[in-house]
Amino acid sequence: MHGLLPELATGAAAGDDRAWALAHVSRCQDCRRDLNQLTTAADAVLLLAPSVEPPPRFESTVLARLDAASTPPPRRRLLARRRVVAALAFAVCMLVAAGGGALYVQSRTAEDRRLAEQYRQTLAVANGRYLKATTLTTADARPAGTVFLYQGNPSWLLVTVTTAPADGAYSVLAVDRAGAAHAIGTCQVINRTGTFGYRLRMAVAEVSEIRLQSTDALLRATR
Amino acid sequence: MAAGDPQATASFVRRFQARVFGLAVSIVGATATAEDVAQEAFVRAWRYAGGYDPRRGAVLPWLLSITRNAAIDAIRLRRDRPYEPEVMLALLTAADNAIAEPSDEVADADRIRVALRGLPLEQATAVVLAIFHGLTAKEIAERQGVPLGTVKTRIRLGMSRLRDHFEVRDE
Repeated sequence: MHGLLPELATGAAAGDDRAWALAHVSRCQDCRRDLNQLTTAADAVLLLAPSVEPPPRFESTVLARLDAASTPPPRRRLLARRRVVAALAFAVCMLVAAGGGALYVQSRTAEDRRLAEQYRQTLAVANGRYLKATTLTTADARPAGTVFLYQGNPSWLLVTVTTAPADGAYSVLAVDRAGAAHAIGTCQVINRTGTFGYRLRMAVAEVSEIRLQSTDALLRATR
Repeated sequence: MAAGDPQATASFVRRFQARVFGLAVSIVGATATAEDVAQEAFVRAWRYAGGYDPRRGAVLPWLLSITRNAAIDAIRLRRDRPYEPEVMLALLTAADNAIAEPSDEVADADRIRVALRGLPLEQATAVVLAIFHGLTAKEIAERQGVPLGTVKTRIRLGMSRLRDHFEVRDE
């Protein structure tokens, strides 16, 4: 695990490694401390970039952009944060399940809060910005699993198929806002289930849909 | 800035714009793209200002981290080609990059610059490709034509030495 921490701190960990490592770090205080130190060092490297004066009117352009963006009201921010916390708590359950473990939550609310707090810290440590969860559905709108999209460096997605209509190889595609489909990888669904992690080479905000396409079935998750 | 004070926001932008733009230029190279990236970084910082916790670190590293992420997003979306790592390394380790910011950051920058200069070239290159270009170990291995395990080792050794400099400071 310790070998992965430098990759996590620099953003060099691949999506599947990263998901696994983040799940571990959230539970391991020693690794969290090590990751903090490594992340501090990685952030310090950014200080070495030279100062360069931006073009004229840069400041006024930035201020105009900030003016144009409205401040979300506090309640909305709180709700947004709660949604993230809920998604993160759910994500840890799915990640643990993906590893073949069984997570039993003895005290549902207290445990969820603890997990959510750990994941909030983990997101902050690893420069992650947010994690989104969306339902994967079959062509006839039946739930078939979940897609988690992580915006960070790098960004990644985790696909958990729970009830696919058919086994086999599924091509995983990310459809952008312009409607173009980008191949991400292939997943092998066995016994109608499977969990797969991939690097996402576009911003999560640019993704309008994730598709899993096999010769026999199509699964979709829209944002 | 987090409180939405226009004057504070303007002061914030004025104070850090050269650092943010400088980092954006260092990563994306192209000036027009760098300007977009720097603007986006301030917008993101403004958006997430409420979540900034001063106990976790100074403002500048936090803001530069946001800038780096925005720059990497831009590289991926626009398929811009960033600086070659050798050029970037020379840029980063140049002695005249000293910053006139708070003293802790000057000390951090000096320390990390010395540490980066002291790394074997292959370790420094792997670290720079990961941190500034947003490449995974696998992508670095493919780009440099070396085994994945070799890249992982270079990143691990390089980052361990950089971290050691911070631990020395803390003692």
